[in-house]
Amino acid sequence: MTDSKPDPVKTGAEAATTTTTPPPPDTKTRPPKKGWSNPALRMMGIPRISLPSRNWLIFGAVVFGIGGGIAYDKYQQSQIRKKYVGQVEYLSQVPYANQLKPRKVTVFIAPPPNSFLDDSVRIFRKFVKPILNAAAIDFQIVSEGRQGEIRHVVAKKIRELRIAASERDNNNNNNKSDADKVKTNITNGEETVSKYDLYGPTNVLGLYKVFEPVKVQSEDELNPNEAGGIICIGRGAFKEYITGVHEGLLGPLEKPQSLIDEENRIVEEKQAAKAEAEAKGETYRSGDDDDDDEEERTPVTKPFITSDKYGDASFAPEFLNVKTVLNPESNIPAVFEQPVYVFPVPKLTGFLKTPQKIYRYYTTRYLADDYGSRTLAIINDKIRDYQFKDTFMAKEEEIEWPKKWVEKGKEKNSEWVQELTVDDRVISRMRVYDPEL
Amino acid sequence: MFGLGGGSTPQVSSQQKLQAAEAELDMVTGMFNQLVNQCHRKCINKAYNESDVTKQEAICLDRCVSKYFETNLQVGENMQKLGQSGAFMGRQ
Repeated sequence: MTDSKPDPVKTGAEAATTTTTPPPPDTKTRPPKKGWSNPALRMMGIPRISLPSRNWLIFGAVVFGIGGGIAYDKYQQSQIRKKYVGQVEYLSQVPYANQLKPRKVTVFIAPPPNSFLDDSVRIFRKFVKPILNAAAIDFQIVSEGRQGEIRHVVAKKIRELRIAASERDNNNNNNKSDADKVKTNITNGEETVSKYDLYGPTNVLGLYKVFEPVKVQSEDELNPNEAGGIICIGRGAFKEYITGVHEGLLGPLEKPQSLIDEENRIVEEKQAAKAEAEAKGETYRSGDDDDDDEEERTPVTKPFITSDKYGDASFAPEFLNVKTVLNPESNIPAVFEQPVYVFPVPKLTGFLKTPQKIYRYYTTRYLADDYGSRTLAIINDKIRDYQFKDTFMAKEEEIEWPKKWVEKGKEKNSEWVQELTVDDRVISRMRVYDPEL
Repeated sequence: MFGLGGGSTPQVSSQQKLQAAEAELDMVTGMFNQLVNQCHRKCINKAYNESDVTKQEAICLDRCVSKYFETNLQVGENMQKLGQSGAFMGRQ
């Protein structure tokens, strides 16, 4: 292309000769874009306003469609959260005496099958926790890394309560009063009492002569009927909780001999396998252990009683005549006396489920709304007695459990894949939250 | 020595003890003031609509204080470990 502009240094004649040849028509350039224009806009440096090309339009539509869907869902979720938080906020704005402790719920969280604990914790953190916090309800989280831990924790708690109760009964039978609790040591024929049993720091400090020492009380002990609450995240956690309650109330107090024998046998077998492998000069790895530290962790204790023996077992004799079992130190109702509720963890696994996964991701707001209203029922104490149908709470989650995982669980005799068995004597004492009340 | 030095040793140690106790008290007071500052800033609504502490603030304070103590303990333990191993501040 020749230079069409006149060079200012050149003389006029020369310039005239160079400009005589017009530029050849450029066939490759497109015709000017269509669009709306205006002299004022042109003066501002905007030549014309027009739609971008077809390809840009498609690209933009896809990007804004996907992004907008996500943003809309997130925005709606936060609006829903705000709605529920606003509904319970009045509970947390009341003046509060400083010797009181607010209601405390226990949250059992189990990871969904073939996934990590994070997935269940996220459900709790996003949909339940903000509302509990807004209602100023304290919570304590018990999570599990391996199957059976929740069951073991619950059963152990109940067994400890039973042991404490039976000891108290024995003491009452021996006509021992509380005053005799002071331990006496007999040394050199003289009866001596430890000084810590006689008086504490509050007895010595003069301050407490003027002011009554503040005694901290929990709201849960003042109001045992609506105290606490158990929230299970995931059907598995609920199954383990119910099994744990049964194990604690129907099972024996001491570990049965057969279980001890079995545990010893497993340990011996492992050691034998290890020794054998070392003899061959290989590093020992047991079949199902993935982590290196797995070996050092002690296995979860097996249940003291299996579900098929519930019928033959006798109900905890310590609690037979007690209407509401209380924790001896805190006077808070025991774990199985508190109403229970379960949130299912919707978790799809597998590549072929991708469309459903995407659909759910874009409609999480419905989940938020649903879980928010359920949390509201817990906060507002919508309690009724346990009915048999409550055994199937959150059962819909089991349909989505991966089939291979369920098969593997059945082989391993996992408690998650077995039908949940309940005993009338136990469930007649339990209560549940019901959002439909 | 000969009855002169014998008395001075426990004298010094008791003074050291006193100093240590003072340092300890300073530390505890400092920590307490820090804790009050932090938890006040974090938990108490500065609008002061209410003369009493509300339930929300009470629960927040409870958690704040217990968290602070726990963290303090953990940090202290770790520092002690570091000090004992002599690896503090890049010293090997």
